[in-house]
Amino acid sequence: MKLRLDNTVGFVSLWAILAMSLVFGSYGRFLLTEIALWTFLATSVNLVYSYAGILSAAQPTFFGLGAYATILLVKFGWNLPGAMAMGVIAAAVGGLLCGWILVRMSAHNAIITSLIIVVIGHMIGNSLRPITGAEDGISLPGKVYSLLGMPIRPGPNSGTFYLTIGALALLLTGLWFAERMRGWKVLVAIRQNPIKAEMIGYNVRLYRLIMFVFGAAVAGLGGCLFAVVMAHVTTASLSIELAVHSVLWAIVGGVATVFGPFAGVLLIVLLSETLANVVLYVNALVGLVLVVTIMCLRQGVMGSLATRWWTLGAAKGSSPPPTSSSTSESA
Amino acid sequence: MTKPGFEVTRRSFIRTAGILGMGVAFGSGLLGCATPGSKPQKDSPVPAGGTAKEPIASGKDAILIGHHAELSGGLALSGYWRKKGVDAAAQYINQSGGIAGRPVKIVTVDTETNADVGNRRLRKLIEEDKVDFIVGAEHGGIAIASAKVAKESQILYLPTSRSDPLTLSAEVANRYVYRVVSGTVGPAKAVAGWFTQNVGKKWAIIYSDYAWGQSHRDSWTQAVQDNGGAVSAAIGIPINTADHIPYIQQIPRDVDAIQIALIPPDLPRIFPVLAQSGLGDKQRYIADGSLVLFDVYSLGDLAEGIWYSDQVPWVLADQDTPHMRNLYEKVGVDANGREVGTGQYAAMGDVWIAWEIMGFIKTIVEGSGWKAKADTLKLIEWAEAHPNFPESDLFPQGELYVRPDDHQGFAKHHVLQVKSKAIRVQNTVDMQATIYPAAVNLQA
Repeated sequence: MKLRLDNTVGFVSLWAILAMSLVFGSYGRFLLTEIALWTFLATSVNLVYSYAGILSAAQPTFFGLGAYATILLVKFGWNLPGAMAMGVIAAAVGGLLCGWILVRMSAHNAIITSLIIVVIGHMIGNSLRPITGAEDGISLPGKVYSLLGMPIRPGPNSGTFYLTIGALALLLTGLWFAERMRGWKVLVAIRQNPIKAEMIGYNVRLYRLIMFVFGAAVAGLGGCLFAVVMAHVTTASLSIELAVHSVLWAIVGGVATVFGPFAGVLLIVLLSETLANVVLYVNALVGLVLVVTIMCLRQGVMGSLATRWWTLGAAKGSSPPPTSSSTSESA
Repeated sequence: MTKPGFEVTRRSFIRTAGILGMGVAFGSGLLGCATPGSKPQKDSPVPAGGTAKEPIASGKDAILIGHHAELSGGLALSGYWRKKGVDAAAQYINQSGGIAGRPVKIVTVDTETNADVGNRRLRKLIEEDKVDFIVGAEHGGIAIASAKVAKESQILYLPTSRSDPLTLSAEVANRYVYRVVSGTVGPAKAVAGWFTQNVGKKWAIIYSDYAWGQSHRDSWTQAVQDNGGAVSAAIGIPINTADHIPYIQQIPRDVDAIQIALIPPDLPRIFPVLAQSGLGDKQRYIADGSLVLFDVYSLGDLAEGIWYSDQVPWVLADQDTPHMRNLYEKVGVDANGREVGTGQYAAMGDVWIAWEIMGFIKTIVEGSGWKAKADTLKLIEWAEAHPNFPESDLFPQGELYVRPDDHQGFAKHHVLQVKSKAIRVQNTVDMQATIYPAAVNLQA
């Protein structure tokens, strides 16, 4: 089995983070945990964009649903695994409802509608203060929970660090394997040419809806883990600001690649924290990075690595990898 | 066509520079994480205050005070003034002998008025910069999440937020959190009696439909009822609403007065809409704390007559004491409440909060004999046993009482009004009258 350059870099980075966590102080580990959490959200954007053909700003709605469901159900007496599972299901159901509408729309209308969804979600979250705590948020009760037999203490600590990184590694490895399955090739075919895929008998709308729901579930899982790691959720987790960041992470890292979102979050969060030491308006510079990336690395960091691999591999007769350029066409 | 040899094109230069830049940032970010205990940023454009003149104890270890500040985002304007207050207080303390003979250094981080960024930067203050105390966030969500972190890290966190759960919720309040500034309950209790007697008994409330606005709605409704008045309508407006008219039209025409608990950008935009909707003749009271969020004078004639309440006056003439004069001078604000040099509208309510939090830290550190973080619990016990802080340069507003039960601060309260393009005090309520029953007992 051959590894593409982007996937090799992705796997190496993931392992490097696990190894470096032994050297890092608690702040470094916290930063890496946060990067892993945002990667779930960026991966969700990537999946929905790459395979459902929708550049969705609505993913924080599902992320927030997962986070809020986890905390609220624990407060209602559920155990943590049950609450997290229900958080993922709640996000998936939310994804089903929104996806059912969005996959029926053209690309631009879907983007606008997804923006409306995230704004409405944020407004509802702020209005339901007795439930959500609005901008003040709600906290996960501070006690030791049991998750698959392991004791888990909410908050940033080594237990939640390994839980989050482990879940992310499983997700990314699973996606990497899935890319090689026959069913996934149908998704790639739909992404590259949905009209042709429909003509040869595939139910394109159904496949796109399935991927939207899957993307929402991934965001929901990230939200559940966020609730456990941060032990506090506010309506900022439902905000349009987070939506903009999640799209930025996915695009800078490279859509239609397994490790692109991870690379995007890693790069931007570390860049932001580094720049925060020297400039005040960090987000303006991060925006500049997006412009530079789009100009110079049109397929994002990992997409460009994948293309570079193909350029080298083409001379040796290997087949081209999927890239984001075809995604843009379908979107 | 192949290019001969090595050629730098504009495109390749931009690409290489971009990649190199990101690589450098990436590498330095990782290295930064790998060096716990790195020094605070003295040369940052988010500079440490109190480092300019330190005539005291240069050989002694500095006391590091973190400032968890909203310097960008929605609360950037008040964040600017809070930072001025903290930095000026640090400089004043250093010039007056420091804290227990030790110099003070401020390490400021920007929360970007965002809960996630705020959480991340708080961890940096605690774990990387290893600060001893933290002047906390103004944003309620950030401050509440931080209260939990403060307890876990056993570090004293002094939020500038007015969010109620910080001292009213048993889930949030803890011994490591001291909230010197008032929430929404105290001010409502303090001034509602005067307003119902002198301004009107029948009220409407328009509020930003999120936690802070909803807290004001609840506190003001209760306080007006307790004083024989009534709130006939409370209308929530989503933040950053484009068209306010549908909400304003819900205000009953027969109300005497309207309490406005909005944040920018809705706050300055609501006044022209009220005038255009035929409600310009109603008394308008801006909820405690929010007048500082925009330049009220920018409203021109529409500002005339607006009521407001705060714990400090705006112009020096309304409390012209040596202590207040010292505060105005040290912070760089003239007697008319304008920033020296720029003429910018000064948010004295924010400056005062920041200044007195620094005074509070100095007083309890020196009183308790605090030497290092291990002494923090001893310091808390001392502060709980000594809740009264008399008027002085460190507490220029007047006596401050910090209740041991819930660590909530109480100070006198002023009713102010915009008159002839100046915000002047119309009434003052004693500190004792602002005290309400504690909802938690942290000493139990």
